[in-house]
Amino acid sequence: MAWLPSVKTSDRADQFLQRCFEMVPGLLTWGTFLLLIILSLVHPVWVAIFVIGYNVHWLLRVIYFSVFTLIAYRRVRSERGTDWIERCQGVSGDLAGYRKRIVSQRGRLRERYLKLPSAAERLPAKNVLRSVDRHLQEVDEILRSKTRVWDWSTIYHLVILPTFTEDLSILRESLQALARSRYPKNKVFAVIAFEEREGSRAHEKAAALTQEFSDQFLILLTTFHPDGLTGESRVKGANLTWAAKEARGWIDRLGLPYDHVIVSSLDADTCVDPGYLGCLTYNYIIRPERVRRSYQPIPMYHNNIWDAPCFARIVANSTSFWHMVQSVRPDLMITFSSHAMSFETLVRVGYWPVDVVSDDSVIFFSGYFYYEGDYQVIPLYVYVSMDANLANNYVRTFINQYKQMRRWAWGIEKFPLLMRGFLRHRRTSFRGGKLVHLFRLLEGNYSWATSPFIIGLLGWLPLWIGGSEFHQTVLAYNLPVATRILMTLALSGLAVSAWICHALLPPRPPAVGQWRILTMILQWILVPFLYLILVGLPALDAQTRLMFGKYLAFWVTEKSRRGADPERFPVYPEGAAKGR
Amino acid sequence: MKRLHRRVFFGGTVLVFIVLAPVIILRAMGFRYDPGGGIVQTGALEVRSIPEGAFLFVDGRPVGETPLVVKDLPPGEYHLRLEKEGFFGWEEDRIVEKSLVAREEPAWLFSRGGSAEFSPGVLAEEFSPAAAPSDSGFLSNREILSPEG
Repeated sequence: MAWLPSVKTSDRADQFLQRCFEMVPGLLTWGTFLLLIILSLVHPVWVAIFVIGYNVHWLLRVIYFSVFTLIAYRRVRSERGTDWIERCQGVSGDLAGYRKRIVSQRGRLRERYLKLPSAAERLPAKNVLRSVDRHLQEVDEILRSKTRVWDWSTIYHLVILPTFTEDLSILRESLQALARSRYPKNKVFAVIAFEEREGSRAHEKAAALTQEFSDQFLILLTTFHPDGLTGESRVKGANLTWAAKEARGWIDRLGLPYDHVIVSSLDADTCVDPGYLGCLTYNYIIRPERVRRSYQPIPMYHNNIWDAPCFARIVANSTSFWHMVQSVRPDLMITFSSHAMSFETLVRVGYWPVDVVSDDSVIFFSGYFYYEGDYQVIPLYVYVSMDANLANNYVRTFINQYKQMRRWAWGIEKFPLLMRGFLRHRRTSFRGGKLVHLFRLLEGNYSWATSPFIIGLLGWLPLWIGGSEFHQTVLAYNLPVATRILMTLALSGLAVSAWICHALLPPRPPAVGQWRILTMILQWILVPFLYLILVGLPALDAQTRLMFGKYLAFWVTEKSRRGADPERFPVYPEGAAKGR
Repeated sequence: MKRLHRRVFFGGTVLVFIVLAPVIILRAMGFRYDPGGGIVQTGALEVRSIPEGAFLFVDGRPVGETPLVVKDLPPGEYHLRLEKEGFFGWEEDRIVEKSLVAREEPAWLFSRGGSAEFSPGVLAEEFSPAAAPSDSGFLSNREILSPEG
């Protein structure tokens, strides 16, 4: 049994290793920049050749990514109207009989589908068919592998919403969304995890929410995480862990087996889809390796998307896309933001880390180390909707967006931990996934910090500082031409994104004018500029901090929505959803 | 998407890169396929004129209006001719070297309509058509600008 090491260690040799590995990402990034600058002076031709090659690679990457986005989108769309409770009940009962029912249902659907006159009408029906086809495959797999499906009615949900300074209205909406779940609420154990350092306001909010929601769930617990416990940093993970430990007492009192409790960690502004709990339960009960899996819904930032300024929308949408794409290649997936896992695994790995910012992904690696590589993420094709960045004014929102991006880029803090972990457990094979995870983490963050600069800035260096001799070459003449053509083509990938984005948007609230749609389309023109300032720079910032050992503290994203009107909340009407 | 499909797709993308990147880089460096002699590294010519908008002929072949860069020229000597309505013609020979863009000062075109229409005006007196060899009908840059001309 292996463990993921902690940032804080008293062992001198370990400290040294930690420092060394902390410097690797920053050194790589800065080294690249320095090398490009020096080479531009000495051998501008080499740099020009590299830059053209890099831009070709970038274009192919964009195309590659767009294809995956389309596939993910198709999948998401096909699962929009799925009744997960029905599936839970189906697989919990007589499986062979249930299979027959699906087959006949599929036949009926196909018949109806073939009778539909136009392609536009066929599309929604085709989506339902796709979903049923996949479900049938899953059922066949269960029958083939003789998996014992757990009875869904024995499963309980522990839902933890950690909060610090979020408004009562935001917490209320999150709980309302949970209460709206199409799932028996007497199986839901909700915890609102406050921070004691928030003071009396936290207790007031707790009292108000308890009064309003306590009868809607099996238990509604409010916890107050004391400030400054030894070994802890001021991070969300510390709060989550405190709440989970408190909840454990209740779970013990109720006598629930830990492997029958699924714990969801949802950010305070997370509004779950009504199908979320059902989908999670279904995916949990049908898998023999259920406790060795994390479950990841698709994060959307739709709560206030119609209010947020364009750059915040772009970042929010890009983030959603990135995670949609991840869901198509689950073997490479790690958890992000709101995620779920079995309570048993959570307890076994010692809860969430209390001293790192990226608790959401580190918890995945805790499981990964604990089960020696036999740990994966199962994508859930349901949304959880969060807030896009929105503060009182543009400048504030912009700064907040930068900070949020930097916090995400701070995920590179996992690199030294993984390296130390793998070194410590050299003999463990981790099912051959060691290099894959290390490479993806390092390469992902490296590209994140370098590519905006190489494409937007350093790529032009040979022309600026390459000297007159280089200027006379055909290559110098062609460099900007090639870059322009390749990047224009890459922008066509953005067109795909823009289109999907538009298709995924929640219905336009009546208060928002028609012209907003136009600005929402125009926002995509901004992408190249934002790419440099809101993507490249925060990542460079994070890596440089890590390189110098200046740790980032958890910064809670400011959340606001214009008007707490429940009507504005993105509830996807089933009919409309299927119609997409 | 099945794992195998993903691998094939990924491999295919890598393959496209391996083929495409060198092709684009070599093209940017001026390499062209020549049906006669395999692959040659070409050079280019930058031709500007004052005023702009003169039509360029390279070795008698029409190319386009100035200012422009004529690419894909195998190394060698080329005869350039500029024509513009209302102006005297202009001719010159230029050498194109491989991988380089041959840049020269802009060609001055002289109006047939007299000095009043000179463009730009400041230079009208300095190079008036009267001072030029009147029998030739056109002027070369070198004849005006280079000392031995």
